[in-house]
Amino acid sequence: MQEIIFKWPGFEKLPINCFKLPKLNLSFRGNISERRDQELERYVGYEVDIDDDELFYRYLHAFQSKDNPFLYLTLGDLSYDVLQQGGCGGGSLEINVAIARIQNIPEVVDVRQRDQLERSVQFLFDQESDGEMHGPNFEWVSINGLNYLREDGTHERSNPNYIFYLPINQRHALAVSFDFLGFVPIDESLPTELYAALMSGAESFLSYIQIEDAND
Amino acid sequence: MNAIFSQNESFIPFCNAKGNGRRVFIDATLIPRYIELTESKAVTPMRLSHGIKALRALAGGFHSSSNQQNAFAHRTQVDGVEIAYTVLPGGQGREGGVYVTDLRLKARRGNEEAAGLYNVIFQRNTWRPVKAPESKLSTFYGVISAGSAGVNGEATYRDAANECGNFLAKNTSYDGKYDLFFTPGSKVDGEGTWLTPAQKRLPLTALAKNLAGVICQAEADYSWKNDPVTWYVLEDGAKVLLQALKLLPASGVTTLTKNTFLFANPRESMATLKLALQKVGITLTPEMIKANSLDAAARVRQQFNSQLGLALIKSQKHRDNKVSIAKLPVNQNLIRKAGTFEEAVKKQLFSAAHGWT
Repeated sequence: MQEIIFKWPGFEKLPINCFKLPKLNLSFRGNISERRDQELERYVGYEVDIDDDELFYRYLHAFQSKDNPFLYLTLGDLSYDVLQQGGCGGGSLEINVAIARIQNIPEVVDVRQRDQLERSVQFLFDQESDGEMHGPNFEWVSINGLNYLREDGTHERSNPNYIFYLPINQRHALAVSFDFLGFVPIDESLPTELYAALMSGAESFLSYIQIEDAND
Repeated sequence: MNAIFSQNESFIPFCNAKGNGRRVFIDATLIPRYIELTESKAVTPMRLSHGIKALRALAGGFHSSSNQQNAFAHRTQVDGVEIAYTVLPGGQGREGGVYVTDLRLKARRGNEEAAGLYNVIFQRNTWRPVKAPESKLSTFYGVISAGSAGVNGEATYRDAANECGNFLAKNTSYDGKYDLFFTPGSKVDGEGTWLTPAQKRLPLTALAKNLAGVICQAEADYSWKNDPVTWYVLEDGAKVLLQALKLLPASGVTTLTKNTFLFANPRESMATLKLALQKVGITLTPEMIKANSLDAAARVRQQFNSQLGLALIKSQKHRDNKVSIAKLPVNQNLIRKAGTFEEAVKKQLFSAAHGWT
């Protein structure tokens, strides 16, 4: 089997974005500022008080309820064209980085526990699924010393989508969603070698995520 | 044969600058397109203007793509925009120089399969476009849009789904589901000379046929309902809708009762759209159009026909893209009226600031 190699954007050279949470500092790489300037209502500021309920409510759409199991604060969106090395294939990669407040889920008090985070995501998955979803096919991945829960969020009639969750504290997690557009025709499943190549791209982005105590 | 230059004698100098190198001419029908592109995020006015001016030295150089059928035709790229041009020697009553024949958005790599109808659902914190089975709508809300171009060129269907979702959530009462007919920018304006294999699979007319199919399907599917489907037609979406409406009478549809249309910042002449809508039994009223007074690109589209007094739009739409060397008269009449391309753009933007005609 031949290995597929893509030319991923050099994340190590991209600007660092730092968010104050405020007890923790969260940082990742990528040029998010231009998109943030274009759609001010979509994104939360660089200083995020994640314990402030009103802040989460402010970013809800009119049709959404405050009692949703997951409330989101969007930090940034990134989008890159990706070419295959030594080939003519390719597609584009879309990344969405957000902080999720996880609430109102039975028997979940601390999402830092692996089984509780899995239960939370499963709860949301069951609520949103229209019966045409792949997944969730949970898997734990360790990248650069951080443990991520990976969920397969692919819809049968859409492009491959994978979401990585990283617990921040007992009721918050970082949710990084990867959409792979144009690599395979819509509604076709990913061949194994392509899947491995795409995951290595996702992991190269995730390897630059850091969470540190603000006091250090 | 020599369709492009004999049909539209509308080339004018791009700017007045004198100096070394070839003179740069540009098709005056590209004025609205130029303004649309500079209004988008794909390129800044300064970068695009500079990119075109630089052709005097760089045209046909190492960094431009060349046309396989015609050694005189080339294409180069500035940020998210592609500039197609022909380099011609002088003679036969023609001034030698660089003739810019087309400006368009760069097609994104993720878009090969992307044009067409999607059912959009709200999942997690985002709208997720899901390919619709057999042109069937899932809701009473539809959007026809190309999304807005980003720094890399045209928008992806995922961006467009988010943008239109935000638009609906803000402007209507709805529950988080809608249908999106995505018309990527690279497919909206004429392309023929530079088709990539992926684009060949879905040429421009196929997209309009596809939309006409969706509209007909809705007529059949919703015949038992009282409420029609409401289509929000955003910006570039109006261009594809116009083409689709023209196809409907031929396929036997003379009145649309289950489709209604609302336009936001339409980037197509509403006068032309009004006629096309009349033919399928819809009367265009001012309530159906919402325009943001800041959207110069949409305004220019409305005024362009009358302002320069030319049948330019027509020739732009039916352009035969086969570029060939032929006699290429620079239109002296047009130059007297408009001056250089850059001056004409300025005039258009200035008059756009004074409202619709």
